[in-house]
Amino acid sequence: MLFYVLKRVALSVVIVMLAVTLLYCMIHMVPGDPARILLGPRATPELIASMSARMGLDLPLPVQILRFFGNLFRGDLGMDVITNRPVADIVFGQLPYTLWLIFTAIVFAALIGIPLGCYSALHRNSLADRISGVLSVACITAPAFVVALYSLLVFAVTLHWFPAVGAGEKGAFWDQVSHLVLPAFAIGLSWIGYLARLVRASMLEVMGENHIRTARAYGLAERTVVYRYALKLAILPTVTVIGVGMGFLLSAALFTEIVFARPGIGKLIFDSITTRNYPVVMGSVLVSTALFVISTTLSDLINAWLDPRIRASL
Amino acid sequence: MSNNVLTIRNLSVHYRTDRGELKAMRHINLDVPKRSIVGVVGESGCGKSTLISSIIRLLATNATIPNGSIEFEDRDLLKLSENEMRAIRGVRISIVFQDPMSTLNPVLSIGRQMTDIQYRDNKSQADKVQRSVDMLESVGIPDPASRLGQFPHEFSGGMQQRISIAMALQAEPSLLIADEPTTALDATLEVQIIHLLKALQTDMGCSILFISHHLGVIAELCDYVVVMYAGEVVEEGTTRDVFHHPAHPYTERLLQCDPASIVKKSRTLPTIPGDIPDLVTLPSGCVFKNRCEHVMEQCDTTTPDWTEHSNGHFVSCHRGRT
Repeated sequence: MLFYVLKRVALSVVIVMLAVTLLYCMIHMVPGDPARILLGPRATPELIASMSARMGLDLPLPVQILRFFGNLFRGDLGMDVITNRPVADIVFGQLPYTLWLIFTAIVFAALIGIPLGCYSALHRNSLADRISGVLSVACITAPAFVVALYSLLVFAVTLHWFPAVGAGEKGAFWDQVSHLVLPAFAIGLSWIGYLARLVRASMLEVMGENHIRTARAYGLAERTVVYRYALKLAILPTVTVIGVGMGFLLSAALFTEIVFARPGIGKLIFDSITTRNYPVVMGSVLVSTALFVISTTLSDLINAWLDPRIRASL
Repeated sequence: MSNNVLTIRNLSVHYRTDRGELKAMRHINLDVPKRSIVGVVGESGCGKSTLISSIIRLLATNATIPNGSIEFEDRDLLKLSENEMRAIRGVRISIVFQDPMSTLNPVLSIGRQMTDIQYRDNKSQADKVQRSVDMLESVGIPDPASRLGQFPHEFSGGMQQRISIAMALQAEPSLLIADEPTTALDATLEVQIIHLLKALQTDMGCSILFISHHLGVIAELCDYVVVMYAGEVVEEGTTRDVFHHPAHPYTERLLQCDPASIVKKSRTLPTIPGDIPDLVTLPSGCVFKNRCEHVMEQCDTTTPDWTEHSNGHFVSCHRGRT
């Protein structure tokens, strides 16, 4: 078990490093000199050269990458070229907003999607099952930014139920919560449908298995059979999907943060790309990649905790 | 009080299918006397599983029971409410299922599953655990206390079947249904499990309804035999009567096909030619007529009555009657 965890951690580090290298190459291929774009059309060649040097762009690409990793191991993500603040401070200042947003969205989706899926599976082909099926597919196909725009229009602009932009006052809990509702809804909506379909399918499969028949033959209450004997197995694929889905959640968060003008990693990436602020781009992409890797590892560990057969194979 | 723990009379079970009503079981009569072992034989698709499911009332949702009664300990199971039925399952009637590798929940520990099914008992958790330990001990699981925390995949198939038997007998039921409990096991284990069942049955004084297509096992274990064919009981009697003096042509052929009884050297195994009739469009007359060697004129038109061939030996066949 310990060996497995160590192996996963080592693998995660490799994945993150590969992702960063890839990103470095991609940035390098984007046309236009970052320093020139950053400084505007009236910048002198000397100014551009000194800016390039500050961003480390005058060095060959492999050296730039190696230097980045070298600094990284000392906990240094570089300096923001515009504000001259450490990138690590900026990224970790924005990270909690995105984490709360994603967490709320996925909890909201799980709280509705999983029971909905269970209900559909247990009342297969009933009217409620069919309605939930249609609604689920509708939810899945609605992109987060479209849901974000419409919920903004309906619940914030027209009905004034929730605030439209920002993340709320720092320290004012309920204000922050009310600012969280619409963005979390926008991200979570498609996940409700997704989880409902997934749980329904795996629940139907598990309910047809022999050991469920055994549990019933021993007179266990239907509630026990479903929620203790079946759900523990049926939830396994869902845990994996949520773990891998972290990538989709992050990209959905990017659009949503832009629409709601919310601070967060997604907004940070967007802003820093538009200003060609590469150290910030690198820092925030590094953190989101790490987030993705951590969440997949975490979901694997949760599965191992739930299923002794997986535990045994580690 | 009747002498039987289970008395099934005139029981039919139909399934609604796209092709129409599938008459999986028709007018079944079956008795399980107290403290006895009754074997049910028949090929695949003869209605054995339907029979079990109807006794514990866990039939598929498209099943209907147009007629019949299942009397268990002087109560008609078909008339009980769902809650009353649930109180009987696992307490008065238990089942050991066919494939031990898939009948236990893979993500819950053995101990958890064994104590969960004692939820009706008004006992402390420690007493429930002790009960499970004792049961595992009695089915021959070594060091049971420490194995309670283990999961099904950590046991071999034979061990899993022993655990299933321990679970089934934990509440000391008066009827144990064993649904081909040894089919998934190899021959050595099969013998062990059969002996275990026999010993526990004698100890506890319960009855066993033993479903199998293995004639040798039935002959060794059972006091009475019920032969099923295409959803009907065609012959019933003591094991000695049915095996030594089979009265139904199907039973005769079945015994001839048992590999253990073949003495003559041959390149091919004997089989019964033909297939079981379509249970949706059931022909009139005897259900076995299209495969029977002794088919007569009346077999085509009239269903043979259920008659006593000799004392306690019943058969449903026109042969030997006028």
